[in-house]
Amino acid sequence: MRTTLIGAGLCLLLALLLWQRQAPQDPLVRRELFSMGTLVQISILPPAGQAGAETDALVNRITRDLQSFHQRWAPTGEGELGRLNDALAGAPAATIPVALRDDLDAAGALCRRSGGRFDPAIGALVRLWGFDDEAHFRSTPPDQAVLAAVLAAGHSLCSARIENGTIHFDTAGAVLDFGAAAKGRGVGLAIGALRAAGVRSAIVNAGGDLQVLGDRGDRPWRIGIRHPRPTAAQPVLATLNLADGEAVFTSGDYERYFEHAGQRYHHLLDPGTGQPAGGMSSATVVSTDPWLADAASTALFVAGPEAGDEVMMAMGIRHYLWVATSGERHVSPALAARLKWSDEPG
Amino acid sequence: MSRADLALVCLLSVAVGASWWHWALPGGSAASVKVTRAGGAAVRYDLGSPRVLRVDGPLGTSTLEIRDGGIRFRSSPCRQKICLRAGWQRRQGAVAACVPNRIALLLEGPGDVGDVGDALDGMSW
Repeated sequence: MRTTLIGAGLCLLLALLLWQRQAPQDPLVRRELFSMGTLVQISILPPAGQAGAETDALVNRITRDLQSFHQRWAPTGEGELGRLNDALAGAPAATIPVALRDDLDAAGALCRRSGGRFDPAIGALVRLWGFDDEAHFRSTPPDQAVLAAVLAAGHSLCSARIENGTIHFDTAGAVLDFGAAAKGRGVGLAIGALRAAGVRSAIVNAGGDLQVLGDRGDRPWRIGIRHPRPTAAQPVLATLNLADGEAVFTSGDYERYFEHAGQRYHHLLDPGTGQPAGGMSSATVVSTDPWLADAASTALFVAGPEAGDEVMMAMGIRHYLWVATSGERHVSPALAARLKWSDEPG
Repeated sequence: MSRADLALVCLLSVAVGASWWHWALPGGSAASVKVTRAGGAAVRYDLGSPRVLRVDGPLGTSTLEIRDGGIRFRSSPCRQKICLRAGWQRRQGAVAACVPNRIALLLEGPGDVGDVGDALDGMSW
């Protein structure tokens, strides 16, 4: 009798183990969309009782919002920024569309705080290097004389005057390109829409730049930071848990680049030299403001290992890390306390 | 040893094996991949079955390869080749995409809430 009872108990345990292993239930609802020139993933832990149709309707609304947002911030075309750039092509000053005014003001302030490392007025350089559009992608560096002429024009949002809704440069031909910050604004927009709809747990990841809402059920959201030179043994540089509202943005030299004569030319241009910034392989910033995180990760990459700490302090960023082209890695004290390197034992 | 005892020993052996399978195996490896293309239905593939997939997008055909529990873009008609540089993807939650050709790979399962294991909820790159 006792043997039969033990046997029955074991059968029950075995059945439970097999059921749990073979039928994992992940309550995350995931949706993907192509927007802002990248793949945007929205993962939501829906509130109990919320139907899938409601989640789909919410994601569809966010998709439309992001498409409008993308059009507004595209440097060319019929959106607000495209029209502003058209006006600046023929004149040193132009009226800023109302929808862009606050953000242009904020971007000008960020440009100055970064010491010019984050500068949305480098649109002409981005075009020259062919990083503005898939169709313009090139395989050789641009003519250096042309590049010098673009630099000599001296267009910078740091020094542009913004008065009474008008932006003033010294000369015509300035091109604004918010490729270094627009994704941050878009991710924040999506998280804001989710929060407003009553979602308490979500993560929005736009091509590797992400922000979280709440936590993942009974634990924090757990994020990996890609290794800039990944190997099969170490694809992830480090991991960390995120608190509600935190965003993680990384700028790296490993995605958009071309190689010519054995040298890598990536898309993160130094506004001061017009060349791809040297010294860094990747730079990561954590902040509750995704727009700031986006701009700051670019500024950190451009600043390089020598000026990285100083620029982050000026921009009010406490949580950041970088990997230099030498392979040396550096993490701020505040982030070090919560970061786990993937090659760290235990 | 009676028949009942023998049956009990067999059950115990199976239970120990199942417990190891359940708790000791790493949770970070993906089991399947969801291949999404704009304007088309998402299709899932088992990462345990080697195969080559040809997926059509607006620029042409991208070729994907599944092997050794992972997947990669093997070729794509885009100019920047960011998708090819992403290399092999094996971890749950990993993503690779050819944005110009509107094709995305998302590695899934077998994660669950509370099952932190080796799994990640997202990757910053």
